[in-house]
Amino acid sequence: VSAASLERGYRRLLACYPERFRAEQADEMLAVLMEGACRDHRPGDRRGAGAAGLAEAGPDRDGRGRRVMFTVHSWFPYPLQLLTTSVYLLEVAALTVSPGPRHGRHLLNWGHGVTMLLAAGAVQASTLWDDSKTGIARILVHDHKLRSTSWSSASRWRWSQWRRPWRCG
Amino acid sequence: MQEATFLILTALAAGSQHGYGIITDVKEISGDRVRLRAGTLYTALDRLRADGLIAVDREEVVENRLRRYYRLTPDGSDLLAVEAARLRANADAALRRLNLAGGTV
Repeated sequence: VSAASLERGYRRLLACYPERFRAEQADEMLAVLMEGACRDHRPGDRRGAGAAGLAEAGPDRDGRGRRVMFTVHSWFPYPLQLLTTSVYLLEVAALTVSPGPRHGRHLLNWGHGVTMLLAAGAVQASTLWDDSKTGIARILVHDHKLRSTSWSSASRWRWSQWRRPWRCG
Repeated sequence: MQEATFLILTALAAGSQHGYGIITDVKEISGDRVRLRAGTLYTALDRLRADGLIAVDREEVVENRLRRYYRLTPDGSDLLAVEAARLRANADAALRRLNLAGGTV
């Protein structure tokens, strides 16, 4: 991994911090990350021995929670881990309480679940690779109002669809 | 006080340090047991600055990169001293009891 690509990776990751924090600390954090990577580099290493991995450089507002909940996807930035984990938990909970095929309809179905997982994956991937300032992924990550409003609207809509009287035929 | 916070304040007790210096110092102080991540360090530094326990001492540009040095404030020094005394009192109590119980310490 070249220094330039490592720096690009770190910059992408730092984009996930809140704007105020980023404005204040991003350049300095980048310097620390790069210094760690360069000082501990050993010939033949694919990466500096002390170079922080992308996950290690990420926001760590609640280290314990992050380590427990996000081990599997530890290379994703923290806000997206939080978002996608919420999606997964919602999906699992909804599928669990679904009335099942006997009742002829579902609160959620597998198609919906797969769509949601693909959407979450796309958001994660685009955030990792999107450098533009107005990227949709960045808006999704940082605009908490938009995120929570869209989620609650979608949930309310799905719930109202499910609760509507159902007629056979 | 969390151990990472205690170690960061301890690293700054000897004089001002920049981010990478704090990371290496914390590693040394803790006997290679605690390796701070950049995310953890800067979240802690941000909080400590907001609490008035540390302050920016000076800034330098080294190889086109910003290097910001932090120092303990008087409040930070006081808090670190209190915390160190508390830890020592706890450790003393533990060692005394181990001795009373016929421990090997």
